[in-house]
Amino acid sequence: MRILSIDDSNSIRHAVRKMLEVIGADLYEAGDGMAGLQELERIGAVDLILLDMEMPRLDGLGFLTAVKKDPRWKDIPVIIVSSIQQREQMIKAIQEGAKQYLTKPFTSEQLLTKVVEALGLDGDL
Amino acid sequence: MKLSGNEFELLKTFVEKQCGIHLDPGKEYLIETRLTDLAIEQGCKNFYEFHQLAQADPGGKLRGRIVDAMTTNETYFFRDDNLWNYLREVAAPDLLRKASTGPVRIWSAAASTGQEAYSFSMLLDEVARAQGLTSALRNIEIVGTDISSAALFLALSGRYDSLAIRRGLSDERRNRYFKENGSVWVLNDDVKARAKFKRFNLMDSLSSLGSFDLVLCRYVAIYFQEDFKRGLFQRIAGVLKPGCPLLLGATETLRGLSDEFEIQIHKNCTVFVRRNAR
Repeated sequence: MRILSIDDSNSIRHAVRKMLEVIGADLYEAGDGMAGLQELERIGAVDLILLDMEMPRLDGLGFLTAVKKDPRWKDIPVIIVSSIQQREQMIKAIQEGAKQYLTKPFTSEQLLTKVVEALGLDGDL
Repeated sequence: MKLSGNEFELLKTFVEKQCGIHLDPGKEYLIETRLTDLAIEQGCKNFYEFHQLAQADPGGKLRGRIVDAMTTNETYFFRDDNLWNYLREVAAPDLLRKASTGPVRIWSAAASTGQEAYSFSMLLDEVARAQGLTSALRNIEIVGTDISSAALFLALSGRYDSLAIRRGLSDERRNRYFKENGSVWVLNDDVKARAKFKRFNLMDSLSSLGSFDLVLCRYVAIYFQEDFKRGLFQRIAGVLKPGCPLLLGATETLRGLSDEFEIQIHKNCTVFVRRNAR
């Protein structure tokens, strides 16, 4: 499964990368929304997007709006991964079509259970 | 998202009905911290809307996620030294002796992502080697149950990242029982194979689980109302063989809840032993 992690923090992307290796995901990364869109163009599509809200150039909401308008990507589930201070923005993101959201800081179990749910990997259990 | 008094009452009743978890006044923060993310995900502006949505939920998927969020507890390897000392010095040798003549079953009642069940599997391996009883290991089965299928999916994989593996596990055990694959630690097949995992709601009948020689039900009942706790421990007594131990969390007790168990103290660990049938 292919997952795109978009966050301007290197350390968060690093932690997410380590955690997602547990489920054997192929991880792609971008440091802001603009780079995220470029990465999507380059890869074609992914199974899941993990998205920070506050980022330079193009923020999470801007990225989400662009993705949901594009018929190639509009059905990709998006999990918002952001801090509690950005809750208002997160509410908007859910209204824009994000599937779930996770508040920073998070444990690997919290991230992984959200990802497993979003991808429906636990369907047979 | 802020929770009003009325909303607390509505969600408190709903949660109790769904999974038996009882929330006293003062526990509003539990709903706020655990359900706000879900409420926002569902596009709700307040907890009243969220409650309405949860009640109308036709497929039960949202209800399942509410139960998951309310019952998710911290988990790590070898949690509580006193308990694991008792298991190493008393329970594991007993179980291995029993297993040399027949099947032995252990239940981890809130298995989450598998750390407790796998800790026990590692411990049994250590004790079996020390006592020359390794052939008995094949007769031992550890059954881990949890209400969250996402957590069980992760438990079944037997794979942990470098942060999760550090919580509670010594370097020695990590190096003995796990293989490093990139940044993931993969549990060895023998230790993993002893544990089976199954989705299960503690509100359901326990008869489908079979009978057990030891039950770990730690930090599970703390959220339940007294009546539900009484019923749960009664049902656990029904699946635990006479003379066999039930282990609870370090701060939990059966006082006033069940007379089916005799209290035994091993060093600093309280053990609730199923009485023989009267």
